Amino acid sequence: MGQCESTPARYFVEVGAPDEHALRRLRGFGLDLFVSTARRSGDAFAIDGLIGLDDVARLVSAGYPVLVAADAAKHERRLEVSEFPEWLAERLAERQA
Amino acid sequence: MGYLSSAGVESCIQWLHTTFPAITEIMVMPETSAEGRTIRALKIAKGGGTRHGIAFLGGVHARELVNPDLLLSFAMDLCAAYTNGTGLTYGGQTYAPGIVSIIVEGLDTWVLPLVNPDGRAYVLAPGGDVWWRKNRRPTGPCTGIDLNRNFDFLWSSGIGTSADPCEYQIYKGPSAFSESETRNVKALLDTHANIHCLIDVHSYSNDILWPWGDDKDQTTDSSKNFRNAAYNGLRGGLNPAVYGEYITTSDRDWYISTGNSAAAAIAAVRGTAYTVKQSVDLYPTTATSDDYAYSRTFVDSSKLKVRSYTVETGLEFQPPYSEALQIIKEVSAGLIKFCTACLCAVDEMAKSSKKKSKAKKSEIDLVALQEFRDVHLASSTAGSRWVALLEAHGGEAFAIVLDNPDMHSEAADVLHELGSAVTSTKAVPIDAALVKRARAVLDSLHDRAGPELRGAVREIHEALEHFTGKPAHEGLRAAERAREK
Repeated sequence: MGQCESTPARYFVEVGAPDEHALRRLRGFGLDLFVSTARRSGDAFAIDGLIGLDDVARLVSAGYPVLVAADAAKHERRLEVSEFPEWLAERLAERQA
Repeated sequence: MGYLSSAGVESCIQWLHTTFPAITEIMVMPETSAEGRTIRALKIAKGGGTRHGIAFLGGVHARELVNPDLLLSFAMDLCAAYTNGTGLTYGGQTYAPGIVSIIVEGLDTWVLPLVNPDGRAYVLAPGGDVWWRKNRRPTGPCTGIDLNRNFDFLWSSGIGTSADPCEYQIYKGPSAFSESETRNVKALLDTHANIHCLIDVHSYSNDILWPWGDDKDQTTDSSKNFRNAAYNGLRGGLNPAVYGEYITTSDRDWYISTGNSAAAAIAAVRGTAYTVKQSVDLYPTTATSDDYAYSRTFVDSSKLKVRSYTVETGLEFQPPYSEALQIIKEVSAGLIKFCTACLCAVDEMAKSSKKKSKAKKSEIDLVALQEFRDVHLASSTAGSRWVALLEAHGGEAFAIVLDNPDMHSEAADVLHELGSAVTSTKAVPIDAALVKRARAVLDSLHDRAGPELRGAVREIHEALEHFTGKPAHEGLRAAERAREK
């Protein structure tokens, strides 16, 4: 399932799976799941992702437990940006401290 | 206080070259980004001549904001420390000035901090998608190709990728290297054929990942490899009974040793634990930068082997900048370890040996030593292990030697005599006095070394017992028998 430019609210989630095969079957949902975070969690498995509430419902209906960890909007850093002169001044100040 | 803008990254590269002109060089990548942005890489190196190279990539995935800043900060640290004759300190991890010197004087260090400038600009733009991952080339109905699924390594297999142009995350593109941004990485490796190591920095999960990504590694059946079409359709199942991707024991050992060394350096800064593991873990992938870089030599043996890693920094894509600065510091400590592991310490030692040797001996016969390594050591488990240790820790060892003139002279003499003994066409026994001198050098090194190097030194120190009074080949056989017990 693809996504176009404007997207509804998304959430950082942890999706559980009872075994490795169930974990890999998550690929078929076409979701933004973070491969590097796939892990064994006790006797089960988990992977982090970024999805909307509709997809949360879809996963839950398919038998996957989903923990909604955070509203993604609260974790973006679009306002924490520096242009180079300011960035350089900060880096040089750190090195002199 | 915040992340560098896309344009700011390019300004920083220019500033680094203007500020440190004697030790930097800019390479304008041959192609612009999809939206026409110029992309630059920076080389840090003093002098020329034959040497290894290392390439650091950042910003492949747009939303992973820390890593371009990390690589530029790292470049700044290296350049400033070398120019000022100082070492580097990252929290609890310190590097002596000698280590900085041998990196800048013994290695070509390439930094390509922002492979995907269009993606970063889109993430940071008002109205953009702050969680965008791909580049920004239109794909018909949608936009963007996942650059880390566009490299020519099992691209056609579809393992861990998507052929759907509207797939948000892992669309692999219409063909391998369809994107200018990935072609630029290929060009960097093609143009600078001495690049021996490649580190692609991503976020997140606090991992250091070595190849392969398509299936679990195995070291026993060389016919099970990515080039063998007989296994098409069988890869990616993570079932060793069906398929495993072949890797040599020596390469795997090097990856583990070097990865552990980098992880230890990171942990020393403020205690953050990075996990060193094979890329594939629970999810297979293909067409990634690290697998492509490493695969080149197996496809074309005229190309140098490029040992590669993916480093996944931090625990989120966009930490608050105050946390990003901490991540930058700790991972920079790890990047230094990759640099020292990428050096050829024996090469560096040999270059310095003629000057430093008390006996003013001729230079060490490097070609003969390399043949001994590649033919004899590589064909034994014990030998492969020592080669891996040397490659993982030799740079740090040499840096310590460099900072201690007496140790340097003695090490040069010992290396010369050992080198003559192992490469002689007659079976020259290695006498007990030489072994004693070698062990004394190792003891001095041990006293000055970090924990990972100390472990390696102890192992080599013990192994020397097998060579006392024997020619090198017999000593190697004795060591192998001892290992099998």
